[in-house]
Amino acid sequence: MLEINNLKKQYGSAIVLNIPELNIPKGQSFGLVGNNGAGKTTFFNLILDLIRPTSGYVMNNGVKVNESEEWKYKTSAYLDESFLIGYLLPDEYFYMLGDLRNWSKEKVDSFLVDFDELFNGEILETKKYIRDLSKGNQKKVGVVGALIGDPELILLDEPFANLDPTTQIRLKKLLVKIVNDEKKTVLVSSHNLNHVTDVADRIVVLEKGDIIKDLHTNEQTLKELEEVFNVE
Amino acid sequence: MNYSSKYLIGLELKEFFRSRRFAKRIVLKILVVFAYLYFGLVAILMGVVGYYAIKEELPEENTFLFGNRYLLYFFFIFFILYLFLSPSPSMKVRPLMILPIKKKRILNYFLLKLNLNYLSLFAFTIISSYTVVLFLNEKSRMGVLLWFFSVIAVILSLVFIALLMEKSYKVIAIVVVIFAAIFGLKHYGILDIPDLSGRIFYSIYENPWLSLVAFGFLTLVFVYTYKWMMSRFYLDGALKVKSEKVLDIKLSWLDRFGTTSIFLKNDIRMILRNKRPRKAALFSLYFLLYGFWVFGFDTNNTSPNIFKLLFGSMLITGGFLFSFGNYVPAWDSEYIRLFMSQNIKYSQYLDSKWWLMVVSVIFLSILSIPFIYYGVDKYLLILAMAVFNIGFNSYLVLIGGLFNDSPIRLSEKVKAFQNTQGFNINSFLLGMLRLLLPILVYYLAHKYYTDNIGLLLLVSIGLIGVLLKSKIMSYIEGLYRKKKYSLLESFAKEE
Repeated sequence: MLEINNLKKQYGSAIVLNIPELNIPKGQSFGLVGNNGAGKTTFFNLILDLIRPTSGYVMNNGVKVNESEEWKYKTSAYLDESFLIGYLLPDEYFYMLGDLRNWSKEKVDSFLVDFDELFNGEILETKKYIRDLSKGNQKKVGVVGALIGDPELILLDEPFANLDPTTQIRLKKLLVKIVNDEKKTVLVSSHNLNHVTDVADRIVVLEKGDIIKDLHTNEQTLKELEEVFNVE
Repeated sequence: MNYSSKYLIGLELKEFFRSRRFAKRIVLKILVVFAYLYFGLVAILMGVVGYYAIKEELPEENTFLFGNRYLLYFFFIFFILYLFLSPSPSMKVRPLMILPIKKKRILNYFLLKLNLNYLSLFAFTIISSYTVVLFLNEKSRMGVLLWFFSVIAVILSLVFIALLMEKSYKVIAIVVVIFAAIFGLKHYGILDIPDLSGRIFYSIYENPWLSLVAFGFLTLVFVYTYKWMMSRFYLDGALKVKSEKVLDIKLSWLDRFGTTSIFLKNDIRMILRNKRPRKAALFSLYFLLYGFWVFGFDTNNTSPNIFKLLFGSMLITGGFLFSFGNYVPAWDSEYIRLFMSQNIKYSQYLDSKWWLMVVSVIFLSILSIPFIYYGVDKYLLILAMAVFNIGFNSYLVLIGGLFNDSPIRLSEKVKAFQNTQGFNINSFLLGMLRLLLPILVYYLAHKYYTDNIGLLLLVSIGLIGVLLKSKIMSYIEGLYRKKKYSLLESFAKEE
């Protein structure tokens, strides 16, 4: 699905990301962990062609993201609030994304039925603009919005932050389900090692722009990760 | 001046000097300073000339008494302007709340700063220079001095009342009732405002102890404002940012326009639901009124000024085009990263913006039908300018918008003299081009040939532009593609 080739991002003399090679096959759930400044968000921005790489490239589904826009049909993302449109009602936001991804209103409606539990009656038909929702509810809108329109690749930056414990557990189940049942590729970044190990089959640890660990998740993974980050 | 006040002022200065694009804007800041100086001079002249003009024109009247007759109108105009322009600088109180600075200090500072706005300073300057002249001409210096302080007290009180109006419906109701009562009494001839005004303020001069009433009023308003703010000095009190009521209108009828409609719907919602774009849209109506003013003057005047006519007739239909189009990608800056990672084609995006502007020009041309009253030739000029706006200026505006790379915070109010977001020399030059070119084209035809050739030229340029739309739009699309990364970067930055 994703091929990273000699990808490098540099600001002045500071290298913020340097990935010589990385392949993420289709249907993998990929976890990205690292301390602040490790380059997680930079990596996501590069995959989405929101910033220009200093050198190298990202191939998404066979096309270079900075040369063709074909990848946009199959890719969706929720990185932060700038992916929301504050003055829309959540319903309108979902319909708009549906419009852009060729889903009819009816299809969006039937898709949203599954999220009633997650939304907890605080999102749909509440007559509240997205900008007036709480941070947690905004995140729910963004994450669910990123699932609309059958994308094959989904990027989520810190999806568990700001969510209440119940929703965190629900979201984890949801992500596991779409990877296992629907064969989607999901990239998740998080500061919470527990969550990542629960969700991802593969976990990559970034430190100051470099990949320092590439693990396939098993019983030992959490421990191993804790050791990486345990600085005495 | 104690430590914490110094600290507060220091924060303000840092906010100013460390703001992004500070260097870029320095030219504009200098211009603003000149504007302040100019208006300061105007204010002084108004004060000085005002007095001598009355004396000259009406030598038999008591000059000071006569001036006082219009003081209530002065206050009224000041108050209305203050409410509309809301010139007082905003202050970021939130981060100060849990710092070890006494609430009292923050609040005092806030209330002081409220009065240091350009409108109040303008009013103070007029009154001060007027007072200096009074000092030289009137007998009782004590009277003049206390009169001066009373007038200042009224201006200060009005600013506090305006603040309360922003926060409380009760105060709005009281103010509206008082104004309605005054206008009602005036309408039925019970109240003679100039007479009342003259009497009140001249009696302060004659009996200086009456100024205590004005001081008392100010004290009352100040204490009330202070207490009111103090008791609500919480995030859910006076500092709360009010969330707007949801404005839900059916836009599904737009769906027939295909992908363009996705953005059209979005743009209409954006304009209706956010303060800044709403203001930009309202601006276009001001331009329409400006047109009435230009043409209205023209019928009374014997010699019509051709430039003023041309300028007016272009702005009548182009108001929205200019006030909205000039910030085209910037309006979407808050969520530009979403748009850029969706399967959105630039051409669709730009197309919807173009259509929105075209529709606005057509709509404003219809609204301007009453201008036929000033002559069919005038209306034809307006229509020719409308075609020019559609076929030429619309593209220029879209290109100019690209240079405005400052993000727009949609829900923030714009303030006059602070609307420096996105000022850029390139977009300024493009702006001049789209204003001056049609005027020049028409003027040359008017001077060397006939007016009809001028009209024909404007319409032809417009029509050619419409015919070449797909070519021009794909050129603009290319420009957008090139600017993508730098726009994304600068839109992500806070001001």
